[in-house]
Amino acid sequence: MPASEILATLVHEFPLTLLAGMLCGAMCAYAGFFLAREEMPLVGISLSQIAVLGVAASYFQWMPSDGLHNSLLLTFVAALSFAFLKIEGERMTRTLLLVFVLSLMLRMLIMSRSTQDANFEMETVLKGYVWFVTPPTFYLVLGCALVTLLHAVVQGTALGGLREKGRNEASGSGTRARAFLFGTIALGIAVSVHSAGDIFVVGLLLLPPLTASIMAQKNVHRFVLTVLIGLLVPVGGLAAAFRYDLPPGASSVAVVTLLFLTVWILGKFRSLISKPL
Amino acid sequence: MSDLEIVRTIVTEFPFALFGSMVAGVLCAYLGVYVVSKRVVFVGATLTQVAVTGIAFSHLPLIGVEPLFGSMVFTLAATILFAQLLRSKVIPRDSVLGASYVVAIALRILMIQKSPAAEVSEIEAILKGDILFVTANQFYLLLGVFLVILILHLVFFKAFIFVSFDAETASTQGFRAQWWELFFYLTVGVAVSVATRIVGDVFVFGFLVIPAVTAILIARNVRNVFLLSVLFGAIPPILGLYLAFKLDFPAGPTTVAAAFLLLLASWIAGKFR
Repeated sequence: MPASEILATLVHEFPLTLLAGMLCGAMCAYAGFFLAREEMPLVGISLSQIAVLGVAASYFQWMPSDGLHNSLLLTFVAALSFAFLKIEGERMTRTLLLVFVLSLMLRMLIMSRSTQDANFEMETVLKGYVWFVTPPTFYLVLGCALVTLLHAVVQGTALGGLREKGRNEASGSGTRARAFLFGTIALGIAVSVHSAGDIFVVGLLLLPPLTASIMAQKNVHRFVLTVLIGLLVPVGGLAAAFRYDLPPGASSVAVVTLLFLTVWILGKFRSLISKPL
Repeated sequence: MSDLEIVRTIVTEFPFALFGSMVAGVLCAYLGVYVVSKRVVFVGATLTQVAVTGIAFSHLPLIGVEPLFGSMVFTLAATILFAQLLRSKVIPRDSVLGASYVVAIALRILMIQKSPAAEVSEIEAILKGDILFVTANQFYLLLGVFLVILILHLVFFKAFIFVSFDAETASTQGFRAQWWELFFYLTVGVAVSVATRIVGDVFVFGFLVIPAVTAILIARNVRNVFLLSVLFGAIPPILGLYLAFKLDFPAGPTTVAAAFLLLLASWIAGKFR
């Protein structure tokens, strides 16, 4: 099947999946850009694992709320804790890894007591095998994307807000900005894990900012490129998944990895291409 | 089943699971001290995922190599790459490790999708961390790897310590830090690939960090950090297997939970010190 036909099928048969994937990709890349700037790229991995733990927690019989609510709650608490923790550098990385291991271990213990159906659902979330996005899920993603947009606007071009991090902290507004940023990141991760899968979220948090950092030198350019990559990669990922019968989450990560490798190799031959942006 | 009966069952029915997980625990805990000291804690999580991807690769149609061989080749290739990339100042260390971690998982998912169902269940067993059915051959392989790495690390102990704790000074004093680092990462790669195949990924990367962090919370000098870390690598498998039997949980995650409980206890004790 030619590429144009695959794209046409995606647009006509899976419009909500395509749009939700693009929005989730852009939100994750947006979050990833700021986490990379804060030198905390591993926060995303820990938060996504916590979001998955939230989904697993919903399989407890005595748990009243559903997976999304649990994910949102746990991810918010963890994100705000990371935002206000007075630890940095290696101690922060160590804490993040311990949180990651703890979430993974708890999830495995919970799933060992869950039904086969629950385990199947969990596999779907982990592998990103999400083809059928329902209208309510799509509107949830859309709402979340609007909150992310609001963050970008309220931050007064969020780039500027973070560029003057030192001044903001001195005036006390840095704490509020950090809380808003981490809250937005938590929302994006929890909703994206729910609708696009864990592997998709982690991949789109880490790889677009890394790719953009090789392609551009100015922060504004890096920011725009990061969000653009996040927006477009899911299209390629879904097309590849459709063409080769693969899970869309993992194939999106494969597409962004190929993009990163291409840019990285081209970067090695920088003299052959034009000067980076 | 009484507690004594559980212990007897573990020792008599699952001796290789018990001693195998203890050997893996001690090996990972020992190497974990270097991993934590070198500030590359996420390297364990990344290498275990690379090892599982190697196993998935070996099960692909038309490939058909021994899973351990696939795991070893992938992990050693990754360690050689990391030895170079983690010294780079251009791309942040955590970003390199995080990106490698996610790429390894994505590749594994894509490979599993194209593998026969029978082989997929083997990979899923590794990911679920069921360590009860360690065979005699696996145990002796693990023991062999443990002894070789132990001898290498005892012979070159001073060089490893010097390069791990102060690479720059080591370089100025004529040590070829880059080669020593590569040598160190290769020993970690071999240990991770063999241990992941036998005791699962959660066990390996949990034990590459938790015992070392627990020891650092308590010990006051480097020698004690190593001794305590090894001790905290040996005790949780016993406790974990006992709890897994008692509460009917998968043994891998339960063993990591036992290690975590020790960490928590040490942290609380440290607060009252």
